[in-house]
Amino acid sequence: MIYEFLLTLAIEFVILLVFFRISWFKVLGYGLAVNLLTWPIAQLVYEVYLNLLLIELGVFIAEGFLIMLLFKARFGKAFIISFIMNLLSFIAGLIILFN
Amino acid sequence: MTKLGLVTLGFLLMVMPFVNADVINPGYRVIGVENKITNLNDYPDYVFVSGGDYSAGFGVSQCPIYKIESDGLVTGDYYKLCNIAVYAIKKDYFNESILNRPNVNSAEWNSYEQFVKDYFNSANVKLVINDLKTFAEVPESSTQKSIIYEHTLDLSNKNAVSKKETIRNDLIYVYIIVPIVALVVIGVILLRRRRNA
Repeated sequence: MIYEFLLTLAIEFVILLVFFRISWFKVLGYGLAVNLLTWPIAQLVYEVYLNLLLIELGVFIAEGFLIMLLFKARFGKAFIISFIMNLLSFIAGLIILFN
Repeated sequence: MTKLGLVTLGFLLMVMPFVNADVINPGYRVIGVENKITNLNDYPDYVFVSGGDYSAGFGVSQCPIYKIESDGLVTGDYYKLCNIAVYAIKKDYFNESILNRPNVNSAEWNSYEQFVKDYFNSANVKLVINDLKTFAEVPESSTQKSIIYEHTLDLSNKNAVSKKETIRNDLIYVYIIVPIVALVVIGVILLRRRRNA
């Protein structure tokens, strides 16, 4: 479980680091806060509502807004980054699941 | 550490698990499933047994027959793909020998299997619950610890009323408290930033 969380965090941290020219420490802190907010909620929702794609969509929207607020990014940029982050972590999750 | 170094480290973290793919736990665990019939004592003229749905494919070798005792608990060791069913049998028709399963390789096996098939096709054996869930697998990150199904029978109506209760582990508190803390932290960051602006 912790591994799954760390993998998501690692993927999202790398993407955020590529897109934002601020200190890596801040990127890590903001990335951690975003993931600690969305990841457990996504796990809980998944237990009662098994549509993974809709849950991912919810996480994508929530993280898009959080990136916009925390990283002071424009709407479009924040949502493109959120899309890339969630697409990659979703693919990584699928690879692990079917490996 | 430079940004390039951090990016490399991040990618290494992502790739590392696939190097050792054969030993990766697929991320699921089996949880306990309990099935209980709550009103067994309402039918003192019947004996209740659990077994496979023998019309659905799996035979008595994979899905043996077990008597349900007065506590109402459906116990037994079933193959996970068995379509488990509960049958009500009139007490005067009940034959203990359906419970005495011989060895699958023994000479008596074929006659026992035929006997079970004929016995369960009889009008004196009523299928009262079909497709009991006796096996559950959940993601490692799930808060589910075990599942209890409670069934209330109505012999005049084939459909029993079933209620599901999920017992959760302590992870549920982590999943509730951690996002609240994260939300507070994000709120504080944004408030401080607004004050400093």
